[in-house]
Amino acid sequence: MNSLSSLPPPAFASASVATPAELGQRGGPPAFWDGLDAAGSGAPLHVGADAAGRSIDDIERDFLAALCENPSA
Amino acid sequence: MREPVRLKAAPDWAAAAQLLVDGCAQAPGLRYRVELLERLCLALGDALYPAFLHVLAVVGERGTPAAQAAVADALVDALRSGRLPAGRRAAWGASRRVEQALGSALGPVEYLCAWYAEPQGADRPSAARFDQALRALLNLLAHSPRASAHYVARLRALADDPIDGTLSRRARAALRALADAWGQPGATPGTSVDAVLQAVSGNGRSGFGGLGPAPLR
Repeated sequence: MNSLSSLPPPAFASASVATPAELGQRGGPPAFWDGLDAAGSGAPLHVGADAAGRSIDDIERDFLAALCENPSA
Repeated sequence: MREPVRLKAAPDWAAAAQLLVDGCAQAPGLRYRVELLERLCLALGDALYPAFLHVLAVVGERGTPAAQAAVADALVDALRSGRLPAGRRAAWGASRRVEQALGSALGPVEYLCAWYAEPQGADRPSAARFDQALRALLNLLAHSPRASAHYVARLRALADDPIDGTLSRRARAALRALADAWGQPGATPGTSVDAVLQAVSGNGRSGFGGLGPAPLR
């Protein structure tokens, strides 16, 4: 009878889907959480009025432009 | 086939977080909020799902109470409607073949916990980074009074489902510890994160090291 102890070890390191290691190969930062501010070290994010009436398409475009080097891919 | 988007060397996390806050806050209704979250998540794709988590964490760290409440309420709406923005990690023990490697989609909190709980995971966040990021996510969700009940139920369901294969035994122990801590009256993000850290390190009551022989279900 099989038991969980006979199963192979976790293989995230070698898997090919959504592993953070791949982010480096695809242009992402190798240490993903670098740049996360310590609490209170950045300017506060307030609710702005600029987004009123904006379409989701517009927000998505600007969101990708803020994060990605090829936002229109 | 569409080329996957790639992260900038220096992403403007704050600008992305501001767009998310404003989009959620100015949304005309539940349907718009849920679709907005879903679209932003899908636009990044599974490979960059951690970027979506980073944006949420920025909101959790730097958002005013109103800003955090707008995003937290949107997340709860998405959760309740079965459309929580989620990313897919490779299934535990998966091979390199993509079709077989895909596990179930995981939402922000469970994705981060599963990532950290895998000791062999590539670029696994350090304990300090994990603490900071999960604390920020839980702080964000704490701004919606509905979040705790709904999310704790989700975590318990995931932790109690060993069949799917997306989560290792260790990751499920971490989610169970989080659900137990988060579901306590007066729970804080700090106590909840500590429970996960203890479970992953094997010191928790329900942690990996404290589990007996695994029952086959």
